[in-house]
Amino acid sequence: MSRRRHPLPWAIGSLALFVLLAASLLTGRLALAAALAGLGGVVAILAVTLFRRHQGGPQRLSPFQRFYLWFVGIAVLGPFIPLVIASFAFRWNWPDLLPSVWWWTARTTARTPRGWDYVFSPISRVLESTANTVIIALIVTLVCIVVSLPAARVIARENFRGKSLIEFFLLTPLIVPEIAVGLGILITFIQIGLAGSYLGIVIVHLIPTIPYMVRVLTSVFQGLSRDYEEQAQVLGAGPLRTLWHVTLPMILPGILAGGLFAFLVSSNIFLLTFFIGRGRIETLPTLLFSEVSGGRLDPEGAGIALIVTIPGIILLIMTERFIKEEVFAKGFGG
Amino acid sequence: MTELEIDSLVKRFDDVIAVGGVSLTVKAGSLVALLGPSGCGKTTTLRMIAGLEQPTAGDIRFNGESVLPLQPEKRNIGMVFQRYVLFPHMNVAGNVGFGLRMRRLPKAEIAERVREVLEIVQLDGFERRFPSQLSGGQQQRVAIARTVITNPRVMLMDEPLSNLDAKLREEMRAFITDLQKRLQITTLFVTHDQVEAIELADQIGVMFDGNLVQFGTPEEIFNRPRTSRIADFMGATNLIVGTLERKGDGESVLTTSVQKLRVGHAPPHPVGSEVVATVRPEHIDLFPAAAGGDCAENCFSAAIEEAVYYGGTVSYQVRSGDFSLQIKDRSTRRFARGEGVIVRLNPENLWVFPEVGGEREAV
Ligand SMILES: Nc1ncnc2c1ncn2[C@@H]1O[C@H](COP(=O)(O)OP(=O)(O)OP(=O)(O)O)[C@@H](O)[C@H]1O
Ligand SMILES: [Mg+2]
Repeated sequence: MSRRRHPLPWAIGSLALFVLLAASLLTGRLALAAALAGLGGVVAILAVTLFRRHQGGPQRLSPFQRFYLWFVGIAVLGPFIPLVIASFAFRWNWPDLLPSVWWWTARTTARTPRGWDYVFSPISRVLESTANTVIIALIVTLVCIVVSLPAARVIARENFRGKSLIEFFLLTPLIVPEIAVGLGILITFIQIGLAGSYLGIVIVHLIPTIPYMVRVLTSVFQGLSRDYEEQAQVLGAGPLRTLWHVTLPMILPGILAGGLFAFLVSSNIFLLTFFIGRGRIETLPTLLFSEVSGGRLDPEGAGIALIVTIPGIILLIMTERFIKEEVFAKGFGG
Repeated sequence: MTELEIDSLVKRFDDVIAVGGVSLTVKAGSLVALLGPSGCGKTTTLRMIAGLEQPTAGDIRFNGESVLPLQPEKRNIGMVFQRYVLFPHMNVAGNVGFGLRMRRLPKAEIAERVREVLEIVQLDGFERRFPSQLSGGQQQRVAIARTVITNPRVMLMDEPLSNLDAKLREEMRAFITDLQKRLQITTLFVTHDQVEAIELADQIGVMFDGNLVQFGTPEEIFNRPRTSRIADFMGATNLIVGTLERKGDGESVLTTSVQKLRVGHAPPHPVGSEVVATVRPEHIDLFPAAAGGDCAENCFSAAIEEAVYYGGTVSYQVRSGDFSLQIKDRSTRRFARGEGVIVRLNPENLWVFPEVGGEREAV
């Protein structure tokens, strides 16, 4: 990310996103709307980061900047409004502005749980899927860090034959379509009995997360001079203690940034989880998909869609406090 | 106390020979400066002693015992880098105590020793500060405290003062000499600043292109450089080409394009050989042209080409025929550009080297 980038492209991007969101909501494509809302969130975070770096200190915003901030805010939060309303609705028909029957009116008369009652009842499997999503994402993040650290270190520090080839191979999971990889892996995993197991899901989640992590950590290691580790060694620290007392604390912000992305990527993977989980292991994305694949904006789907966004939001708030902006800038500077 | 012995040390990186067979001994408790221009292999030599680089050939011994089989963390070495590389996530106490924590000393003892050492480097009360809250000089003192606290057998310093401004550098120079004498740590100090080397060191090793070209006391290196290149590097920037005409008892005469020069010693080369005489800019005397009659030998008239005033001294460039000499004058007298002067070269301050290819060897 260059230090100064004009906000206009971002404004146009968010505008396009907003139009798409409105259109998809109006045509009832809930899943698409939820995905776009997530994308909007990322745009918003980048925009806020960008603006903070543009300013440097408290100062009056120009009218354009103020308009832009409001605009991003609306573009990000706007789509959630119909989602929230829908989750509390019982009957909401085109072209009513608000639902004709609300959830709390209907809940006494309906025979099966409705709206939020359904979301929190065991039959919806929301709690189970949330637990699955979080646990899988945590394990994936940890394994991803452990695997990527040495790789990133070598790529950042050493020059060896075939280095660019290895770097290219590390990026291929981002290029090859998931469905092509997923089918092949599914066949192999069925043969070796990994299909439908947690281990299998963790392994496939590592495919798209490792490239991100290695990229982030490589640039972190490039920014960390060898001198610190050498000084620690000369002072009597062996390799392990150097890693623990010097290297890890110094690259912690980078690890957190990479970990955040690995977690978010893992908890949003649908296709690979769906293939390898084989319906036995349900995560929030697969649950949401089966709920809304019909394309209806029903209250249950809206509720689950809202729940799906929660882990990401909590994590963002948590890590935002730890991560300095430069790490993002570094990690994606290319 | 430990004696450091480097024996025919070689380091080759692919096709670059960074160090080409260096041998030298740092006597127990003494400070040796490794002096040489950029890229001559000083850092590589230090890194091999520290164990951060594996020598291609040769040996490194502490008190006669090879340390090559030891990993860096087992060699008990102190190393101060040019950049201070303080750990940014630890405060001063954490940084200084790091070596002792790695040696698993009890907490109370570490705290006690940290306090003692910080007192020595005059930073008591700075325990809780973080490196980013310290000035350059303070950071360097923390870096030094961090290495001396472990009582290293050998201390290696790689241009530790080059990041400091002139005044601070002088203070730190005095501080390092003082500390080194007090703690009696065998020290190898790398620098490319001849003044620093002369002021700090018990002995100086001069390195060019990966080789040790002269090893001796500062006085020897300064006054009796072995080659004209060393003389040049040590600040004797005036080179006068001539032919050896006569050789006598403790003196000789040189014929040059301007005039005959008497030299205060007799070089070993045969009469008639081409030689180069060097003289330091501060060893040349300047007189007004009118005083010419008083000057008997090694005098010639010249014109001031350039005069630059540096607080206390004036640096002149003078020319007489083929000669172009640089002169540093400390007197209060001022000559203007274009003015005529008399230049006198004291025979005792002229040093003669034979012309051998590009490199001019003496003795
Ligand atoms: N890791 C390396 N790989 C290849 N060549 C190297 C390496 N380290 C040093 N060299 C080369 O070895 C030579 C000596 O380097 P060294 O760093 O020891 O010089 P130096 O005397 O410390 O110079 P300076 O005063 O600039 O620090 C240089 O030509 C350098 O390019
Ligand atoms: Mg160096």
